[in-house]
Amino acid sequence: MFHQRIMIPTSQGAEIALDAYVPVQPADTDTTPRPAIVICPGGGYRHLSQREAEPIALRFLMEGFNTFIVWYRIAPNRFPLPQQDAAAAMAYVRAHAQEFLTDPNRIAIAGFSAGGHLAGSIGTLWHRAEMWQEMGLKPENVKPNAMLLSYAVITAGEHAHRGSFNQLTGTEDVSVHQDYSVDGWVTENCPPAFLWHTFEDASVPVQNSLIMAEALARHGVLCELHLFPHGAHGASLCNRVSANASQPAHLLPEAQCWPQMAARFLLDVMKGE
Amino acid sequence: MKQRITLPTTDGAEIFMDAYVPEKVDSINPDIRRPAIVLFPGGGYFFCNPREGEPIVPKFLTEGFNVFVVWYRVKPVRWPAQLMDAAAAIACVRKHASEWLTDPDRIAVMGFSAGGHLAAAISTMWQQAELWQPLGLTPEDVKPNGAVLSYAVITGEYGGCKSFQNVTGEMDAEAHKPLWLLDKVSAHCPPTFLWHTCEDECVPVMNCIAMARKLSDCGVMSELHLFARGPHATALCTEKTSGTVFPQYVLPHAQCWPDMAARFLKDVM
Repeated sequence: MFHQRIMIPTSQGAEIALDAYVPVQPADTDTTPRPAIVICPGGGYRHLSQREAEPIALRFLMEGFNTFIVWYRIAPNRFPLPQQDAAAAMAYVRAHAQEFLTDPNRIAIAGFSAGGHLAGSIGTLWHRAEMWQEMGLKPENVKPNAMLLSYAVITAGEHAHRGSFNQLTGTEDVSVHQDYSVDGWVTENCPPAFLWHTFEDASVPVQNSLIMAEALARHGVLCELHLFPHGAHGASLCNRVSANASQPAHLLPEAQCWPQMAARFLLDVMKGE
Repeated sequence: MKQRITLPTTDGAEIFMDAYVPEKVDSINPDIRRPAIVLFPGGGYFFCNPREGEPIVPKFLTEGFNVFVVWYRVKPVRWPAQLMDAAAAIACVRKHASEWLTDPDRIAVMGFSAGGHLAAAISTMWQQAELWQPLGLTPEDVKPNGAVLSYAVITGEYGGCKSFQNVTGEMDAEAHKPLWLLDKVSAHCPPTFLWHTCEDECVPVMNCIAMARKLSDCGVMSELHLFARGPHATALCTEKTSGTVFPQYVLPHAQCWPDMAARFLKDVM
C-alpha cells in the first residue's frame, strides 16, 4: 500500500498535511480506478480528532475506497481557511488521481462533527469560484461527488454547537454565526449526501442532521439519513477501535453498520462520468 | 394460532382484527408475556392492503412479538372512524393481554403509509380522553408503548397522496388540517421508529423528516432510517412482498428495517 504524509499547498502560501492511503491493485484484480474519500476529522474547529481520522481511513479501505485525511487549519485560523484547506485536499487528490489510482469523478468528502460542518461547507460552497481563486483553483477542481456527514455541526441557530461557530468565526456574536449555517448554503448544486447521527448526542443535537436533510430534500438533492437512538457524541466507528477509552456510550452495536451503509450509498451515487 | 377477532365500534359496524399469538411452551417459558404489535396496513384509506398485512407478521413473530393485524374501515367511511378502530384494537389487546400472552405495557403500533398516519395519530392523540369516551375507553386503555412508522403519511403540507381526501370525503385541504399531525406531536408520544425512502413518489420524504424533527424537539426517543433509493410501499423490501407483481419493491439495502425495528421496540418498551 502507498501510505504517505504529503505536504500540499493551500491558501495564503501555507502548507498542510494530507495523509494518503492507497492500496495496491494487483494486476489480476479489477484495476479500474477506485473511488476516494477525503476525511475531515472533528474537533470543534479547535482540535483535530485522531479517533475520527485513521480508523475511518482504514475502515473505508475495506470497502474499496482510497482514503485521504486532511489535517486542516483550526483556530485561531478562521473561515474560510479551514474550507480552503479541505478544498485544497479535494483538488490535490483530483489533480493526482492517476498516481493515486483514483477516479477523479468519484471523490467524496466526509466529515465528523465540526469536520462535518467543514465537509458540508465544501459540498455546498464548492461552486463559489471566489473562495478558491487565490489558490488558483476552479470549482470543478474542488467539487465533491458526494458527502458523508457524521453527527455533523450544521446549524448556527437554536440547536447549534456554539463552540464550533465561535472558533470558526472568531466571534461569540450569535448573529454573525447565522451566516455560517450549512443548511443555509444548500442549493440544487449539492452532491448527494449520506448523514448519520445519534438521538442521544448531547453535544451536537440530532436536529442538526434533520435540518440538513430537510434542506437537501427541499432542494431535490438525493440523501440518506440514519438516526440511531443511543450513543454519545463522537462515536466514530461505534466500536472498540475508535471509542474514547472512558466513554462506554461509544460502543454501539446497532450503529456499527453505518460504514457499510455509507459505502453502499457512495458507490451507488458516484457513478463517474 | 391465527384467530379472527371482532372489534367493537360506536355505530354497530363489524370490523376485524387478526390475532397471531403463538402457543406458549411450558418447557421454554410457562409465564411468557410477549410484547405486541398492533399493525395497520396501508392503502390510502381506500382499501387495506393485504400486502402489508399477513406477509409482515412472521418476521415479527420470529422476533418474539404477538402481532394483531387490524382491518380498519376505509372510504367511504370517514374519519374519525379509523381512529376509533385503531383505539378499539389496542384496547382489546390490552384487555385480553393475559389470555393472549401479552405484556399490557409493551403494546406497539405499526403502520404503513396511510396505516402509518393511523399509527401516528394514535401516538399523538391517545391522551385526549374525550376522543375515546364514545367507546367507553380511557387514554390508558388506548396508549401505545412504541410506534413504527413505515413510509407514513403524516401531513398534507408537503403535497402527496390522496389519503386525506379519501378519509374526509373533502377535496379542500382546509378540511384535512385536523388530520395533519405535526403540531400534535408532544412529549406524550411513545418512542418512535421511522423509515422512508428519499425517492418516495407518493408520500413526500419531508413527512418523515418533519415528524422526526418534531419528535426530537419534544425529546421523544426516536430512530430513523431514510434510505435514498426506493419507491413507496415496499413493505418488507423482499420478494415476499414484491412477488411477481412489483419487482421494483425489492430493496436489498433496506431489508434490514424489520430487524432494526424489532431491536428498537424491545429496547424502548
